[in-house]
Amino acid sequence: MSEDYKRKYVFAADYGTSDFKYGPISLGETPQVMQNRGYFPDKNSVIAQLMSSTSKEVVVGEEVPLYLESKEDLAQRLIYPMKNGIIEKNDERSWKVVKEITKLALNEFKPADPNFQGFYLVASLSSIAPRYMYENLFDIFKEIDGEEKLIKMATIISQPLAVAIAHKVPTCVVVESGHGNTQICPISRYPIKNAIVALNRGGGDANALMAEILKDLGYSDLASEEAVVRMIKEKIGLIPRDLDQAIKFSKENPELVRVNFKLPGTRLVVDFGKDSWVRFLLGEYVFDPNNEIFMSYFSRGMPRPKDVKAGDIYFYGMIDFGEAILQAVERCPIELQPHLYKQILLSGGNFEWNVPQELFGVAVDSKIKLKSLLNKHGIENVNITTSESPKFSVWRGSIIYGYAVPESYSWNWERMEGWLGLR
Amino acid sequence: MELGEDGGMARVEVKEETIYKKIRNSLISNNFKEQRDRSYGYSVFSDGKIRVVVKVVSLADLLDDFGTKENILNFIFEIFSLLVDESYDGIILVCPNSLGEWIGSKIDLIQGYNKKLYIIAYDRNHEVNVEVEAALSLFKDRIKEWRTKKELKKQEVGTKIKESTEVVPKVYEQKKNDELKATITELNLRIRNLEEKYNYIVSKLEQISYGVPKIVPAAQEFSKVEKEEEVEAVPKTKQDEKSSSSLPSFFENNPWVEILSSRGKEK
Repeated sequence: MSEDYKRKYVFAADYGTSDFKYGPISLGETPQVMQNRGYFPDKNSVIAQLMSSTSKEVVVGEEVPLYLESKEDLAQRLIYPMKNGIIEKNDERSWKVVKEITKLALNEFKPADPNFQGFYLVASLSSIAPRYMYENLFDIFKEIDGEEKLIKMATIISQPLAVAIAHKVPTCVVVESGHGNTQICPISRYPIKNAIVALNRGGGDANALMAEILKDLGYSDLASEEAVVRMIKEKIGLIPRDLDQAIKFSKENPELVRVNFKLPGTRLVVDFGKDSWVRFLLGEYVFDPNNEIFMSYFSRGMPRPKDVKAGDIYFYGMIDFGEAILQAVERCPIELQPHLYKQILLSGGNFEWNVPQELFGVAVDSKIKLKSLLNKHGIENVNITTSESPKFSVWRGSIIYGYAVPESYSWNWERMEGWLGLR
Repeated sequence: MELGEDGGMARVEVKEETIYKKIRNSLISNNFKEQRDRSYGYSVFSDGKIRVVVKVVSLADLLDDFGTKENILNFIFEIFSLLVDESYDGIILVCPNSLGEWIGSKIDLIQGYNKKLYIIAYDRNHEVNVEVEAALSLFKDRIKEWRTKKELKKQEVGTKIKESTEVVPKVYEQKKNDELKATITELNLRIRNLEEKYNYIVSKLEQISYGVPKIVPAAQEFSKVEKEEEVEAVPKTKQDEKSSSSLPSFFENNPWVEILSSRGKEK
C-alpha cells in the first residue's frame, strides 16, 4: 500500500478512562473527542421507543444524554467501560460499548473514495492492560471489519509509548497519571515492559480528600457531588514544596493563602477561611500520601490507597512518586539508568496544578515537586518535562506510529507490536 | 478542621461550630437567607415562607453561663419565648447531649410545641457523631413539616375569612389542589424534556434535509448539461474534507519516524 494511502487513512483511537480520542491522520493537530461511555436504554421506555428507529442495544456518542432517564437508572445503564484503564475479561457490556464507540468513530470518517480499502487503525491502551484486552480488542476490530470493511490492518500500542513518540524522545521515563492510577513506564525505543511500575493512586484520590475536607468544613451536601468536588479541587489545590513549611507559612500569612470558591450558577460560596492551608494537602496527597497528617483522614474512614493486583500488574498504594520512578528505573540496565533520569516526561491531567504568583516557592509545579522527591532519594541530575498537550499526545503518538511502522512488520505477541491483518 | 500537634496549629474549631456551619450551609443551599446573625444569641433564617431560628449552646456556655440559677432561668425563658413567638416556625437547638435530653423530655409534655423544636445534641466525645449526622440529615424533613404546617395554617386563616359554608373542608380541598399542582408541574417537566428531545430530532432531520434541496436542483442542472465532462458524483464526507497531503506538525524533526520505520528490519 502506498505512502499516499497511509497519509490519508491512518486512524488513531485512544481509549482513555473518561474520554475517547479518535480520528484519521488528515485531521491535523487535534483529534475528535467523545466520552468513553455507553448507555443501555430500557427498551420498554417511551423515550427509547420514540428515539430509536433502529432499536439500539447500546447508545454512544453525543446521543447519550437524550436517552438518559432517571438518576436511579444511571448506575446500571450508563457504562464507562474503562476502570483505571482496564476492562474485565467477561464484562460483556463494557466490551459492547467499546465496539460501538469504535464503530461510530470509524464511520464518522469513512470516506466516499472508491479506492478506500479500510483504515490503518492504531489503538492505544494503558500500559497495564493485560493481554486478554489486546485479544478482545482485535476480535472487535475483526467483527467491525467483517460488518463494514472499515479496518484494513490494526495494531495496539501502550499509551506511554505514544506519549514518548509525540514528544520526540526515544529514551525516557513516561509518568502518566490519570483519574484512577499512575503508570511509570521506562522507554528505550521500546517500552521496557518488565520495568513498568503502577500506582493505585490518581486524581480521583485527591478528589476523595477534597470531599473529606468539604465535609469537615460543613459542606456535606457538596461533598457528595463528584463534579463539584473535582471543580473545587482543580481551582484551589496546590502542591507544597514542603508540606510542613507550607502549613507554617499559611499560619503566618493567612491572607495570602486564604481562598473562597463560588459555585458557578449558584449563590453558594465555599469559604475556606482560616482553614485555607488545606489547599496544600491536595497536591501533597497525590505525590506523597505518607505525611502523618493524612492518617487522621484515614482513621476517620477515608479509604487509604491500597496495594492491589490487577492482571499481572501489582499496583502500589502508598509509595511516593519519587520512589516509584526510582523502582521503575532500577529495573532497567544500569548503563541506561542515567539516560532515563535525564528525560522524565509527565503526562496526564493529574500533573496540572496552579501555582499562584504570590505563593510561588511555597507552592510549586509538578516538575519541581517531583525533582525534590527524587532528590530526597539521592537522585540528582534529573530533567523533568511536562507534556505540552497531555490530552492529545497519545493520539498524536499513535498517528506517527501508524504512519511510520511498515505494513510488513507483522503483529508479534511477544513484543506486542506490529500490524495485524484483519482479512 | 483540626490539625495535630505535629502540624503546629492549635485546635481551631469546636464541634458545635461545625454543626452550626453544616446547618447554615444546608439552609442556604435550600434557598434560605440569613436574616439575623448570631450576635443576637441566635440566628434567624428565612426562605420567604417560613422563618427558622438556629440557637447554639456550646459546652463552654453550659459550664460557664449555666453555673447560676439565674442563667439557667434566662436560657429556659429564651427558649420558651422563641417557642411561643408565632413569627418563628421552627427552632433548631444545637446543644450538648445532657442539656438536649433534658429539654427534649420536658418539651415532649407541651403539646403543640414539641414539633416546633428540633434538638441536635452532640456528645462531648468528638468521635461519637453518628447521632449528630443522623439528626443533621433528618432536619430537612422537619423543615418540610414546618413548611406544610405553615401552609395549612395560612389556608385555615383564609377559610375563616371567607366563612365558607362548603361541606368539604377547604384545607382538605387545598391539599388536593396542591397535589394536583405538583402532578401538573411534574408533567410539565416531562413534556419539556420530551420537547427538547423532539427539537433535537427535528434539528437532525433539518440538517439532513438541508442538503436535499441543493442536491435535487444540482442533479436537474446536471442532467441538462451535455456529458462533456464525465464527473463521478461522490458525496463528500468528513474524511474527504479533512484530507490533506501535508503531514501534521508533530511529525517534524521527530526521531521516532526513523526508528519506527525500521521496525521489523532490525535484529
